[in-house]
Amino acid sequence: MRGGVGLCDVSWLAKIDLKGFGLKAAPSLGPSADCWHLGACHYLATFDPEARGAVLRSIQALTGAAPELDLPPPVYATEVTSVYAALLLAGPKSRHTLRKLTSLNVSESALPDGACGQAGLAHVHTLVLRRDLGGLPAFLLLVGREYAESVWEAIAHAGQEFHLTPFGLEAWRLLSL
Amino acid sequence: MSRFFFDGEPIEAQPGDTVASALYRAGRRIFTRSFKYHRPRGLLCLSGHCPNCMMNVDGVPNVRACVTPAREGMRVRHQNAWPSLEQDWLSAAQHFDSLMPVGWYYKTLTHPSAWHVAEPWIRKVAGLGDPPPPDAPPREYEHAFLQAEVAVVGGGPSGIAAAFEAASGGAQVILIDDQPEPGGHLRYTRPGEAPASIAQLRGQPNVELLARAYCFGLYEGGLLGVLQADPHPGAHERLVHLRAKRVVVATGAYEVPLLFENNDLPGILLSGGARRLLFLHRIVPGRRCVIVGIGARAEDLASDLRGAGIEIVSLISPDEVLGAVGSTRVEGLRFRGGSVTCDLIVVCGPLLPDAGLLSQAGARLAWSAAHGAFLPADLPPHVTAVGRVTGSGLEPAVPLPPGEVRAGKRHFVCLCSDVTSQDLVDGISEGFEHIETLKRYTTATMGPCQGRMCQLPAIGICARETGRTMGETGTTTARPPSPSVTLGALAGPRHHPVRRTPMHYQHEALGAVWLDMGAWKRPRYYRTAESSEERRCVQGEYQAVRERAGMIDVSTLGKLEVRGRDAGRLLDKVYTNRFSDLRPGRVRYCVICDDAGIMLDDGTISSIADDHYFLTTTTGNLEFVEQWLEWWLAGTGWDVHITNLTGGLAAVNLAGPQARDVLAGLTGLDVSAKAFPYMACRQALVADIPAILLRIGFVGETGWEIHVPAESGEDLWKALLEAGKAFGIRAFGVEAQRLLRLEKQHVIVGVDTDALTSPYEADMAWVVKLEKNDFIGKAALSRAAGDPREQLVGFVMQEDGVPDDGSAVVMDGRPAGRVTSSRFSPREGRAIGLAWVPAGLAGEGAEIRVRVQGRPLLARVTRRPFYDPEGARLRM
Repeated sequence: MRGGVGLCDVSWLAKIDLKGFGLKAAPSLGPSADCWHLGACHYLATFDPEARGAVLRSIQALTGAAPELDLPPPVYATEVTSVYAALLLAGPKSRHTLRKLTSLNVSESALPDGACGQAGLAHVHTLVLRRDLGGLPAFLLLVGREYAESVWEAIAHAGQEFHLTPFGLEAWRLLSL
Repeated sequence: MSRFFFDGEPIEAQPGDTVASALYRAGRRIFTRSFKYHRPRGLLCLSGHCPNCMMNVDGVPNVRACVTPAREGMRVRHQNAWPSLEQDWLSAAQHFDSLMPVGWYYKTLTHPSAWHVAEPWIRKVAGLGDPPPPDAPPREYEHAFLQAEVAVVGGGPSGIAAAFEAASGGAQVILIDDQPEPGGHLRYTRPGEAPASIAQLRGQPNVELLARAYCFGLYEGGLLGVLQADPHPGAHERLVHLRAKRVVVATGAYEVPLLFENNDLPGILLSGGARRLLFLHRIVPGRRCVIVGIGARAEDLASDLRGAGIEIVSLISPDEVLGAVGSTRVEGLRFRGGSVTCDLIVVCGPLLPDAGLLSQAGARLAWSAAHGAFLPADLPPHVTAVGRVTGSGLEPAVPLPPGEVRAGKRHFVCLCSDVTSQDLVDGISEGFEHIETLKRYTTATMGPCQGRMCQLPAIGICARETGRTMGETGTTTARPPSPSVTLGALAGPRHHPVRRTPMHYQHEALGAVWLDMGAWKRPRYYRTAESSEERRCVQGEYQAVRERAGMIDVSTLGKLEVRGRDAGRLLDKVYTNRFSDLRPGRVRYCVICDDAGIMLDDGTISSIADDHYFLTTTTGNLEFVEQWLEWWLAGTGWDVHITNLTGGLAAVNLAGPQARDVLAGLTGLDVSAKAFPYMACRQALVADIPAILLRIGFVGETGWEIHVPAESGEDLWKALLEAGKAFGIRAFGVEAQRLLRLEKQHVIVGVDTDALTSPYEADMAWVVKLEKNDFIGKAALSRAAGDPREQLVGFVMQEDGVPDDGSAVVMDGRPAGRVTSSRFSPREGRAIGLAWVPAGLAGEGAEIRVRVQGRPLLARVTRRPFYDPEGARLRM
């Protein structure tokens, strides 16, 4: 996989959708959560489920509006962990594989580490989140859970020419080190 | 050395050979038979431009053999000749040419019955290959999306220089070349003199070379359509969508034939074709050669051919030539003042800029007498042209327009469709003087070469005959795709997204027969141990729901969360019903109408809290409803936030007289009618899974729609099946659901309604609250509230027979309405359904006639649900 591309099911990643007029900038949810800017006043937090307690506390702190002002809550948090399946596509050939599936510009300059985009991928609306893995280019692909199997198959097929390998949690842990 | 098969015969191929060069080396001279007259045709351009070498390769028709690398085991077949290329009986057609003057099919065969008889024959004779048979092995096509700062089209010397220059400036460059190696015309005009910059270019990390790829279209926004052959061993062709900030067109020039009698005989080559055979494939194309051409180009050619040991019998200027001699191959050439025998004629035809892409990009094509060609002008800002496509280095090969038109029936202008100079002259004399109408009347420039070979001579003839200049006559329009593209490549990989519910594999284990609803897979019905026959299975499922308990996977429903202080306000505005007064814990049916009062979707809205609603939409309309809400929200500044939860929730509808007993065993929630009444919603644990329960009933029985997180869907499903076992629970599919709801006369928006249906016509006036403040569709609905002209009504067949959905309702023998849904109702013992009828026939008990298998059968209108009209069972 270090030479080609690998695909890992990480749907267990916790995801919380954050919307609200109070979200003028990326909310700080601590070191364990990634915050992806999806649109105006709209963020998506992804994090390891083990960090759920801490992240929820940070979100709680955001949602409490100043009661003395008659304003709507600044942030509405919606649990979307089950809404999205998450597939991690990682390796030097991950970008080449993606280029066969989506019209999104996934070049280094257009989508650097930490950036995100939304596009059709294998004809399915997808959040493409660039999250490198221990120096390897890697993309977290979030698709509606009901599409997951179909998208997995499309990615596996597109990656055949690069000898795409599915990988599991142990390899993921090793690569994350 | 490799070996492939041509019409079953093994053919040896050298490294670097194309299919055509290997066949030529093996002695083959006839490669195709022409479109109309079935004249023998041989290699001409060897550059993939002309139609003379189109063959069927591994089942794919119309493959240009001259640019297709020969590969081990390939199966090549000839096209459009019977029984063989050498002996084509269809070539008898050329003796009947006087019966087929230009535009003959416009003038004859116009009677529908005549065309009916003639069409299959014309199709057979004038075929352009056969599509692959349905059982042909699938071919892999793929798509790719690339981006570049600079895209250079053409890998000749100018393209290489342009790519090198852009790359040196630091830009990301993609170079597209249709040859296996870059170098362009230098590869066969000055072999061995490849520019050093090719090696340098390969060393540049910011340059990507797409070899054996051609650009077939230049679209808006710097989008280039590129087709790449054999991108890797697993794929046959790759369609590249290339976005470039700047496009450099370096497509060079191509050579076109000259006009003389029998100018299409095998053994007549364009100079480029002869050089390619000689220098790219080391094939000596003939022994005794006549060169038709003038100036240094002809002299250079002569010296190159002599160097290969070919005897140059004569070098003749194009205006001296009268015609070629021979029947199936060249045997000599007649010219003013004499004739010679030869086995090869090489023609130095005019060189034309390959400006199709520039023309597509919006460039004007202006005639230049000095170059003897139309040159691109007024390029759009992001497009530049370099090299011979700009006209640089080009000079006239023949005077244009010609001094005189040699009109003849064997002077071929258009090789693709066998259009002769006589045909063009006749077309013009019939009044088709404009080059665009002449094109459509004669079909010149409309064949597979897309006008590359014939456009210039056709314009020349048109100009001469109408007394205009070349510039005044102008060109025909260049459109993508040019060159042609296989449909498989456009279609791309055979991947269709599939949406599976969380309980997909549970259904499979239960014997589900699948129904495709959009991309969703839904069980249509379940096969049982007793029967796999649809009618019996559906009947069993139906009975379970009506008599005991049934459960159906409704995870495909669209599910939206709407939150925010102004959420109720938005829902009041968008839906016809009122929602701001919906108390938490209550559910209400909802309908969306557009400004014209037409029903777009329906569903339910549940109030979770004052600023928190849970919406369901129909399976197919989720995306639409989400966008519709966002659209009406945009610009209001209201505090409303919409989140799509569809994939995140699994949902089961549990219904039947004993549904309450099943549910009570799985939850601590009080599910009595008093504590959890009809149209209420609650949140509770069901089988230890956190769930939202809606007490609603589409099928007309006491029931709950239970929503749980998707990953718990299977657990819920299994728990319900287990808990329901004692009560005889059955899983039911979409077919049983449709029958159950039909007995309740519940309408399915989009099935029973169409693009003109208002709630009044659908007998659903109760969902419209005209007394509330403005909402979408209010004005139109206020006007429509009167007497609808048509009405959706229920009906019961009075005779045996079940109408198909869509059957006509007939009145006095004429269609007056249509059936939208109909099924055999076990309860009524006959078919029931919903139908559109004129308002005059919409009264209770009115008699209508429904056409069933051609016979108008009697039916009776009923406006009351067939089953439990008071809804008592729903509320139990």
